Amino acid sequence: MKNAIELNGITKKYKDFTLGEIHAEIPCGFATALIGANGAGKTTLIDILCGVTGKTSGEAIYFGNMTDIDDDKLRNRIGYCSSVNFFPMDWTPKTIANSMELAFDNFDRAKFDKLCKRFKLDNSYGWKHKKLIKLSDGNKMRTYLAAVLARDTELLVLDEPASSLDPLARDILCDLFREYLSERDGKRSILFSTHNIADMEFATDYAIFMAKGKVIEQGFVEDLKQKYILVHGDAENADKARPFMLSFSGGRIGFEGIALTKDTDMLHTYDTVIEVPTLQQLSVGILRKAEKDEK
Amino acid sequence: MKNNKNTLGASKALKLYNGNNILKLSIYFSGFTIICYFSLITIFVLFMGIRIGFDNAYAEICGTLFGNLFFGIFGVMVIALHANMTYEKHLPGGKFFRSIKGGFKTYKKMKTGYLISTTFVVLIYCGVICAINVLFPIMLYGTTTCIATVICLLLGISFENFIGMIKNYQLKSLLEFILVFALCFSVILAVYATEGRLGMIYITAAVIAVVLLPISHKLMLNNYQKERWDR
Repeated sequence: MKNAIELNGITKKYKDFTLGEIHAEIPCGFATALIGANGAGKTTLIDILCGVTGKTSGEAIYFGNMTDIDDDKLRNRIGYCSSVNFFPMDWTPKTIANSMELAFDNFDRAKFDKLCKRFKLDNSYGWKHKKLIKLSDGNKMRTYLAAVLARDTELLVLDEPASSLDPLARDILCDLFREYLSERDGKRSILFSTHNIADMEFATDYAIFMAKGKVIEQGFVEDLKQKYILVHGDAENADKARPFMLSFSGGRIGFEGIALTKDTDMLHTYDTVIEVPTLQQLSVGILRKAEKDEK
Repeated sequence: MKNNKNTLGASKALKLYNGNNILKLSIYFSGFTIICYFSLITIFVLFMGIRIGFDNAYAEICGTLFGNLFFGIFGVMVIALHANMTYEKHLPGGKFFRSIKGGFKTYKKMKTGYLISTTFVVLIYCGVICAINVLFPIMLYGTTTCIATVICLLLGISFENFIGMIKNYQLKSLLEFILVFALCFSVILAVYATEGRLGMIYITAAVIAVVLLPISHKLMLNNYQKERWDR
């Protein structure tokens, strides 16, 4: 199996927003980050993939041969978590465990308790439990993640899992991602959306960039780092270098931006410094270019 | 790990959504409603009793339509809560419930479980108050009022199901409130006006309620799937 999900022309039409057509691949055995500005359509796409929102047209092929998201077998293979209010706010860890046991065939209560302990949360045993509404946003997300990761799934689909977590919890999340992917010898995959690209960079193998409801770039992070370069230069050379830059930001002292690797030689002639971009720098560059093209 | 391969029944689906199965929810909810009703009657008797004496206050509340109207109000609250158990996507838990095994089928079963539970609550609430009323009168024409209220509340659930299909939220809320209260009060007043004699109209209403309940429930669920769930 090459891809965990193949998206073939997925669209969703709202009164004021249209998603798609989305053509993309979520490679099997890797962590894929869905990157885009607010309103790019990341959550809508994730919701469609997990059966939370209906699509207008197109098809998603899961695990090579499954297409019906209402199929219970498929739902059992996908672990989904939304960014906010995933569970009712009056639920406690005990209620969550009770409901998850009924909602899915593969929920492991003991694992949920272990994960709660790892995230420093109440477990599902005992009498005294804090309701979700009394927890901070970060602890709410830790609880959601513990519940989703306690299932024996093959694909995790997480909407902004890191946004409300503190740096320490983000680090635990990255570790959990690695553990999850390594447990099944390349048969498990992760799709997550994020704004904290810098924090999640080491957990990201493949990236899909979205802007205005469309996929504008996608590929393995290592390949993208070979396709694009980060360019720095002095202000005096800015105008000469600008035509070769995909994204450009500059001031009186100097400029910086993303360009294509094939233009490296030309850009060197303008006394520029060429570096391999980080995923964060790549994202800013690609999204800025999309914004510029839109104008 | 629990391996629950079977499709969930209405009671388990309700437990998944609500934390309680049909039996537990019916007992808790009807018990709570009965306690609320008696608490309100007691509070009124106590407050009025301070001014006009407790015997007079008791006669004033329980020997007139007050006891009947309070009884109707709590009955209406039961079905108002039933109508509002919708778990919208944007509300807490909405996305979780849409991602679970069974998806809308589980939601349908939960709503059916909730309908059964609400029917039980109405029957337990009216039955218990009716039994107490025989021993300890709190309402005028108690038995007749209880039977008429059961019919009225079951009809009310059907009307709530139909009103629930209206898209405009404000209009829907207003109609829910006005229609159910109007229905309940008119039934209680009708019992008073007919001096507690149940006529053919009640039997007809009971038959309509029994027929309308599953039909309205099915229509409401189909509409909800089309207009809200799949959007």
